[in-house]
Amino acid sequence: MQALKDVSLDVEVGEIRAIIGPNGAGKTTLFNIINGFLRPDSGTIVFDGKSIVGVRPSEIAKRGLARTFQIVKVFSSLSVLENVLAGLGVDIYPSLEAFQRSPFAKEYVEKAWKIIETLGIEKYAFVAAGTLPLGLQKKVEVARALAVKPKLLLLDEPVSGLNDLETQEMIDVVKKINQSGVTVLFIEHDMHFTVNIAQRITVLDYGVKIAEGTPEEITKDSRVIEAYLGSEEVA
Amino acid sequence: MLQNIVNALVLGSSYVMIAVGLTLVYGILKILHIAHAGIYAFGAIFAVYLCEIGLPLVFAVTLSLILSALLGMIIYKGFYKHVLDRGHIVPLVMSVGLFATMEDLYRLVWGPYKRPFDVYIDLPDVMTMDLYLSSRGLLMLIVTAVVIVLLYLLLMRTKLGKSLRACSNDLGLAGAFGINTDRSVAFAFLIGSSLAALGGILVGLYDNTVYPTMGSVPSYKAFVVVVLGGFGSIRGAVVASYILALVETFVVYYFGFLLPRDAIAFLTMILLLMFKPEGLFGKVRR
Amino acid sequence: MSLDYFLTVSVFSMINMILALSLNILIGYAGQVSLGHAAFFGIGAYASAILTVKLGMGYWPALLLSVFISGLIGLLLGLPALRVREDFLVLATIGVNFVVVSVFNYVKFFGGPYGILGLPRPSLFGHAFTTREYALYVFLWTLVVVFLVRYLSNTYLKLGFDALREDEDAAESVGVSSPRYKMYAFAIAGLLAGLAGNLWAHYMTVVFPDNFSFPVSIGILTMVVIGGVGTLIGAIIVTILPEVLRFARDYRMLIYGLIIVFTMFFMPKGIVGSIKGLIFGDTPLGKKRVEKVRRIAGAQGRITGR
Repeated sequence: MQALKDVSLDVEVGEIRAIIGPNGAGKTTLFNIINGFLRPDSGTIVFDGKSIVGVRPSEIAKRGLARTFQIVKVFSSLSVLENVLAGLGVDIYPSLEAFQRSPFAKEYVEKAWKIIETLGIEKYAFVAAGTLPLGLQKKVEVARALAVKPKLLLLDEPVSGLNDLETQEMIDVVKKINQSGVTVLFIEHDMHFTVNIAQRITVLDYGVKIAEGTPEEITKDSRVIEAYLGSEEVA
Repeated sequence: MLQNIVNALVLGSSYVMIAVGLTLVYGILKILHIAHAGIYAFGAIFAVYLCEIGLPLVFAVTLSLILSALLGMIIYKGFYKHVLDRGHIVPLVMSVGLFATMEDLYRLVWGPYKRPFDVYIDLPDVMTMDLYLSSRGLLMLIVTAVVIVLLYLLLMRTKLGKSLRACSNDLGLAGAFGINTDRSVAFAFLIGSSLAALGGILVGLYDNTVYPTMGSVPSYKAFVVVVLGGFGSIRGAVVASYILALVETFVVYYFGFLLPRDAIAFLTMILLLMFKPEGLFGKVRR
Repeated sequence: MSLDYFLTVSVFSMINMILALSLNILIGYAGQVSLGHAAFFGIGAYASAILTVKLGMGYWPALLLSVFISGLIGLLLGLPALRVREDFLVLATIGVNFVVVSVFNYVKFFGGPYGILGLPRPSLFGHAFTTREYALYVFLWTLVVVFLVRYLSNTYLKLGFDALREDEDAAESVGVSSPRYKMYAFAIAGLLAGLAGNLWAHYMTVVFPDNFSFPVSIGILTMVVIGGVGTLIGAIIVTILPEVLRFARDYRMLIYGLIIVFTMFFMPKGIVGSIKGLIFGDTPLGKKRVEKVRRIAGAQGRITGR
């Protein structure tokens, strides 16, 4: 059974793009392929002018593609600060410098702290990430992803499980990130978040792209509505 | 040649007994139940002990099976259950610790020496021009065949069996459907442990030796079987048991001067894990 | 208690420390649960034995070569780790331990069950080390290893290991190549354990296959477990343990087993780690570090809260 079939996606530099669709539509699979965790059976992925098919996820990260995960994957027993410092090491890990440089050197701490402040989580900098509530953990994941200095940021369900206040905060955060020049591609079910933030939306259903357009167009698209109703999800 | 095959069948049968329990536990809990080796040894040792103090074989075996099943339950309820939520490393290391403890306890309580399993088996030896199969070997084959059939019936035709298979597929989902997962797991341990004990008894009979550390090597090979058979597939485990036994027997027959027999199984495991991690029948779990 | 007895216990303890530190890098730092560590210990020991006794090499070149060999084999053994799910890595490592010991036992070249005898003590300027001098020698090496590990714990290498341990996928997504880092971990651990093997072999002047069997791996594991998978201090405190238990030698495995079970049950961070947690509160970073970070953040004029 195929998870994805003939999905074609063009993400413009600087845009905020959403991928939506009922459960099982293949959205996370798409991310896993872009990210390098899965190999596509056919097709190409071009990032920043170069093909990234078959490239290791860690190398893809180094080239400027960062991501968060559907089920939040912070480094639980590390402090929030260390989580972010870990992201800052993206260029260092592959080289012998990893044996020399300390994450707690001034330059890294300063950068990490700035990122932590951007997300408003300085209060928790020294707390073990795994002990934080979900909303904060998601922020930590975003902070860590930012530390990778991404050109493209992949967010997998950034607000699932968050309450309204936290969702609004995430909206502000993503807008801020995008304004600083980062292209954002995200998967979501929460339509309030999606409609408020995305400039364009791509809709997948059963692994096939069924629609693409602006939020206004998509919310009125009959195929989209049918796909959601058909799977008992209400937009 | 035929003799080799017969030997392999007997060997494979012993693997089946241990591997089924391991497969059940791994399939459901995703824990490598290393302490299973301890239950195998316990079954044999306890049975020998009972026979030595005069109980008839059938009673000794039955009692031993019951106690071994309980022992397995205790390991689950008393130990594993409490650390399931702590990641992968903790239950695994705990299992290793339990195993080390069990083996040493047997050594201290029962003695480190190998003891014979001196009972009379009322079955004939099979002797033809081409092969020889002792009565105990015959017993092993018969019992294993019966067990396999019963296992099949249990898993495919009973409600319990269906629960076990559901849990093996997806524990969370099974719970969501209202299956009492705790009970299913407990049963898995009960069944698996009694099978392990039975295996220990049969092997103890066949080799006519029982000793505290008799569990380590066979259990390790049983893990090879679990890997070969695809991590959670009982059918795979049964088939893989015989395949491994065949491979072992024939490789040793032709190349036995290179490495001791057990090392061959271990090497197989390592190579398998590296090059075909999903085994022969399993699905790859990332 | 005679001086010689004290020296022997010390030498064993220090060798244990190196072993525990090396396994700690593998399990505690990188999260690769390896249960066959005695294999590297043995490879270092036997390599040196073969080089000095059978090939007539001097101690010092043999030291270099045997440590290098065990590091290399560590690297090779890291290969299964790349493709094998964590649980089954444990099995693979147990298997490796077994295969290695089998080879020592079975293959004539390694002396079989009678081992290899007659290893020389190292010598400087023509003078072979006495027991006391050897103890000092081991002490120096232990210091080197401790400092090395300390140093490495402050580098991005360690953070890379931490990431790998906590979540392999997330680690990849921040640039930690899991194959590369697993290999690093295995190579370093193999190297250090091989060093321990060399030191052991030339102290005892004999090597037997049984010195490196699975129960020995369990002993090393126990030290790491008590020490707190991840803490340095724990390994230091605890390496005395196997030596203390020499009195209870008969019950050793039982005690190890119980310690492991008990620790996993109540203190998965290890006895030492858990005690630390109780005393200092559950922050992953030490006090000094927190201070330093506060200062840096404050210097930016930005510190906002606690």
